[in-house]
Amino acid sequence: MIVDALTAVLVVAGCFFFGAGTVGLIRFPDLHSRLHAITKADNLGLGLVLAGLVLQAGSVAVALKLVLLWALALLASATSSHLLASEQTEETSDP
Amino acid sequence: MIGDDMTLLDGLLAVGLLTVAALALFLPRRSTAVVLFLAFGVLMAVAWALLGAPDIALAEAAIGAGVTSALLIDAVAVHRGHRTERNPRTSRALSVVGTLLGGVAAGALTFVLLGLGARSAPSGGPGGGPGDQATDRVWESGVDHPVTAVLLNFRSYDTLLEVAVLLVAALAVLTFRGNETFPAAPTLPPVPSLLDLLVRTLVPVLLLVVGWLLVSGSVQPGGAFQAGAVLTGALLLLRLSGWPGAIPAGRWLRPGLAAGLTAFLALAYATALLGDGWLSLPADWAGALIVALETLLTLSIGLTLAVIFVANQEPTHTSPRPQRTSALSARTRRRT
Repeated sequence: MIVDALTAVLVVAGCFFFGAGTVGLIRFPDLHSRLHAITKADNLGLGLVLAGLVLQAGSVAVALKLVLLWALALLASATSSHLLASEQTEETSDP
Repeated sequence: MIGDDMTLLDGLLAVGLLTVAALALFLPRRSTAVVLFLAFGVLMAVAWALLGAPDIALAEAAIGAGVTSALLIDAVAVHRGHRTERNPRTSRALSVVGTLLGGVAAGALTFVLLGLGARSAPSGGPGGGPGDQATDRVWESGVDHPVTAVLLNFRSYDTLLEVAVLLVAALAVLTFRGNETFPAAPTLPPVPSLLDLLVRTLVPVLLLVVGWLLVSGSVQPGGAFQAGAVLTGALLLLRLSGWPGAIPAGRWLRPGLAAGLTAFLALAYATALLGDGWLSLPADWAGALIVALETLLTLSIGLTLAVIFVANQEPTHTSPRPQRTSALSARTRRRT
């Protein structure tokens, strides 16, 4: 019962951070701040949602797989936002 | 019958799917439409999971929201310098006609599937519907998972034709390149070290997932198509970060593409000549045969989807194709 309530709190908090990241994506003026909002807020939201799901996992293996998902998503989103930001920096700095 | 178990989540998902589809069709900017197609793929995967079809959810997530979206994004990004607006007049009419035809087809398919579902309800007769017949006879198919049993044993002829369709698509895409050779090594600027780190970390994990999906298809959702799509992701990651040998371009290209279909046809002819009949697997060999066939299918499907992606990229040289212009000028010369 407490575990379910904790899962609900964590998942709702994760969705709140996803929403905050999306608001930042829509409202921020340029690419770099949008990437900042998306990368930071969405990954934290994903971590909270997966933490909530880890509590519901049936076995340690499933819980470890969920944590591995979060680590891989962190790696992928960090790399892709770095690539997007550096490409745009190159484009705007060309004479 | 539909409204029995529908929850708020199902309703929201249905509305979201239709909204995203309509937006993807009717918004003018091409890059926005492609990103909305990606979102549509993700929502479809969730819908399939909610409907209790995890195999199709995996396939939709890997192929629809993965490979196809990557292909479309690559196509859009290439023409970023050219006009990105679609012609509003012609594309609007086409969108409306396409939407109507798609709606009619979806309605007809829903009608047919509801009829099949009603026939396989537990209150039916002793024969049951096709779903019940399949789950009853899983024990003699060599695998434990009903979906894999249906795809690769009971209805393996359909899967054979699907693999043939994939091979034909790859050959068609290769033909579009004309006389240019398939680019062996990607011509890219030096790769950032972070992308290199990502590839070195992610590709071994992806290959492990490919092997796991392939083997777990016998007992739980998985199988050749899902594993092949993840293999495509790994090959494309290697390719896009500059590794030269990821997608074979020389003498291993066509054998790799054809390996799956060749193995399937070999199995079909072997069972036709030596066994009970066309594609009826003997019960004690069925499990091993299915896993072996799925391995070759995974390699072929992964290579096919990766080849379709790479063959659509811009040619490595930017000079105009000399063969075409000379043929055109010869024809005009003959006319005047």
